[in-house]
Amino acid sequence: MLDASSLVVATRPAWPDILVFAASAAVILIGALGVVTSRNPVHAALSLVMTLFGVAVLFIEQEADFLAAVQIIVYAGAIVVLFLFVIMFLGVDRRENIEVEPLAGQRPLAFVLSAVTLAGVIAMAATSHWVTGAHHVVGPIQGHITDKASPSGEPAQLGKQLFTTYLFAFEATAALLVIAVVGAVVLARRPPVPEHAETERAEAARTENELGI
Amino acid sequence: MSLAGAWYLGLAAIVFFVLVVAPAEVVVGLGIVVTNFRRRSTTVADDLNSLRG
Repeated sequence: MLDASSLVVATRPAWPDILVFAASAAVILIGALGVVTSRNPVHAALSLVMTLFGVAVLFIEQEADFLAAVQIIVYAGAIVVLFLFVIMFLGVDRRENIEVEPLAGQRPLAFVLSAVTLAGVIAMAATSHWVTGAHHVVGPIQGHITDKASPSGEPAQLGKQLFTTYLFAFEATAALLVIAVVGAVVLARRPPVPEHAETERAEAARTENELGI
Repeated sequence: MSLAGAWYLGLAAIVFFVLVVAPAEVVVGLGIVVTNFRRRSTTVADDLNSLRG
């Protein structure tokens, strides 16, 4: 763990850090390119998920575990699903022939990858803590700036900061979200019948009456 | 939490606010998609070329 002095002095990163950064950076870049180059919006949304997972790995690499969890839950879980829901709702779901494989041999590959994943999960459950994956858990998690009287850990401290130091910014984001919701409603509602169309129709009806039709 | 102190929490809070702004952008983007679909009956980005000179 880093102490205060190592924050000032630039330390050489260890090679696992470099490896993790390079791998997740490649994933992020490939996903981002997929977002802007895909013709199918569903493929673009799935590439976005790939990018967001890469960013979450970078968060974990920076030891911001809570932000990584929020990233996965909010972005990959909620926003992309919302996006896919709207896209599907607008009718991209044209009929597909599921007998034809778009990629050759994707079904055997799916079985192999599922077996590898299952083996990995079982191996992890057998050798380490089954929830966290940590090799051994010693007592409750200790925060560095733990207040004895309050819950410890990053989320609790972050929450305390949000409602004290950053309260104004927090309220501003609340206003921003409300404005966004109102804007979405305005954009999505059907446009009302224009005024001149109304008067035209009334005029046409009047002329019809005068002609006795 | 190894980068101890309010300094690190301040950075985390900033990232948090960036995370909150993103849903607002998504709402606007989805509104544009829905409005565009109503006018042109497509969600394929390549078909939206009416601004091409």
